Amino acid sequence: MKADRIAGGVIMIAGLGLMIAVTQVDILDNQPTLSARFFPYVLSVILSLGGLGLVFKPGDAKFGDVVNKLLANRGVTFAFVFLVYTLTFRFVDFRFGTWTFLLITMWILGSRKWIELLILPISVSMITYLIFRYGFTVLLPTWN
Amino acid sequence: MELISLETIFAAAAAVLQLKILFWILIGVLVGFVFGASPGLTATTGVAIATPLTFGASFEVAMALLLGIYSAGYFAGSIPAILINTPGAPGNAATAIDGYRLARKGKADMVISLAIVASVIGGLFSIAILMFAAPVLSNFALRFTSVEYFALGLFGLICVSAVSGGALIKGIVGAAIGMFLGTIGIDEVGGTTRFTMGLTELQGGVPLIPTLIAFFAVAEMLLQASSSESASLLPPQQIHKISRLPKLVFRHSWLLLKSSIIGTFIGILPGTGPTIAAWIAYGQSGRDKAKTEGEDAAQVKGVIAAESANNAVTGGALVPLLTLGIPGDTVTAVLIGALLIQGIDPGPFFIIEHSDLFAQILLILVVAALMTLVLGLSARRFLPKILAIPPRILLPIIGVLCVTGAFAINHIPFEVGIIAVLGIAGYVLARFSFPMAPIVIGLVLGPIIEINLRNGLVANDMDLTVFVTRPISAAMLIAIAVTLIWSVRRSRH
Repeated sequence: MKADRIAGGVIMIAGLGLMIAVTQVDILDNQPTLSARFFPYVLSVILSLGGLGLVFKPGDAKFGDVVNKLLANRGVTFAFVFLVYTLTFRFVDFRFGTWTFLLITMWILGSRKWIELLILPISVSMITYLIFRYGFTVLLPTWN
Repeated sequence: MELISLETIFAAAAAVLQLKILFWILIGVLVGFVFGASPGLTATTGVAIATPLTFGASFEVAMALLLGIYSAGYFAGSIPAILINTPGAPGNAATAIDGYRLARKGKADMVISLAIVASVIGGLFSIAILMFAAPVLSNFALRFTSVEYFALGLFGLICVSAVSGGALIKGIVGAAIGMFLGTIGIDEVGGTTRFTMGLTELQGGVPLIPTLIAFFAVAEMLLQASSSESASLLPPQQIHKISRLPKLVFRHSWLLLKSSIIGTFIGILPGTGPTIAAWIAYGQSGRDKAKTEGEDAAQVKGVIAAESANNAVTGGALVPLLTLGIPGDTVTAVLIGALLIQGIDPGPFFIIEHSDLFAQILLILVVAALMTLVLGLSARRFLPKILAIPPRILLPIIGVLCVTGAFAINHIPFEVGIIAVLGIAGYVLARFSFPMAPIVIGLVLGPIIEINLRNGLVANDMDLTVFVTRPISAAMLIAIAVTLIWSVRRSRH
């Protein structure tokens, strides 16, 4: 099964879903111009047609190959850790959260030298914090 | 317009070419490099932070610092764009597409050199236009209404075909996705809320810079992370001798001129900016035709076009500011504050009443451009060394910079979450070979197209023919049609 056929099918469904979602957008009565639904509606048609185009004119890549690459262990784990880092950003002290993120992701990507794992996460998180906090006056989240 | 007298220029030169002023221009250029090169920290941020510091300083010192940041900041974003596919600012996104590909072939030195030279030439060209044609051009800019801005936005969409490679359908879908993201939030024309899913943070819309970071930097970071451990980020880099630069630049002189004109013109239009200029110039770079000469030739054209247009906006954006008091882009909007701090009211009489200050501004921009050239070319050999850092160390650091950069824009944690969610979505799309650039183009141009279409119809009583009866709009629509027909014919051959 070609990857583009699956992608095209998903996009077509998304386009049709958007068409339905557009009907929920409030519009003003007697608005003297195109309504707020017009442009999103046009885009939903483009997406649906684009998806259809991909279904009928797919590229050569196989769905199985694409999925294997997509779900490669390191990529998925790295993405998950990154997602957790960003979603907890506001609740966790930047220095600690960044240190943890760096430590875990360096380990995921194959770092095994203890000196790298000891020094780099601490120094990068502290240097970044100092530069942004005092150099650019960006108030990064802290616990105090 | 009468040219500024030689006497005024000499007096301005005497004021600007002093060690103290040159020092502050240098500081401004260095600060501009830092802000421009850091994703999430743009030239606008740098100028905004530096503006209050000019309170109490002389006009020359204030302008030296701020214009130095302005000039260098617009260029510096191309460095991370080329090295790690992470544009430092939206205006450098087009550079990332071809610049990064060339860097992956070991040509980072050459492409950074070209980007520097193209930026400086674009900047100097726009300064020349500012000097000789400011009032005439500002009158032309005043004729732009919603109708013309709509046509301009449509014109910008043409570059989607240029950035899609052979996957035009995927490019169009990507642009549609980007334009849909642009509809999220409060509708600026009607005031109703669209697709916010009840999140108040989305009422202002999907922010541009975090989206840029997500689709360019985060998606690429995840792609690299999922690749084999032994793959380094960039291959060994070839050294490019500076002596070969003039020949390379001369070979693309027509492209430089064309892109500089595009950038200057876009800069003159209030409310546009380097992002649109870079994409339009990129789309018009003729890189598709150049593919017959080889992939590298096409990519070089893409970088030159994007960077010269991006920096040509600097002089162009000063035209409406200094002739009408209307900012041409976000930086000039901040510069209004800087001028007011100096007790100067930018407006229709600025050039007449303060021709000496006008001349000083021009000279400061020229000096800043030349300093950017010298510093950039001097530092370029060291920059790719960043990529000698192994991916197991560099990728996590990029992740941290993406997060802090996204947070630094508005200090809103929600935007940090956006880069992860959209970044992962971008990673999935990239795995299915969808190009990322059309999504960003769609996000930038979508609101311009929609808002101006609807406002144009309001102003003209829903008369659709106005888009073809107004001459500037009609000319642009004809140009769009011709370009599309020509592209289709060329692709069939």
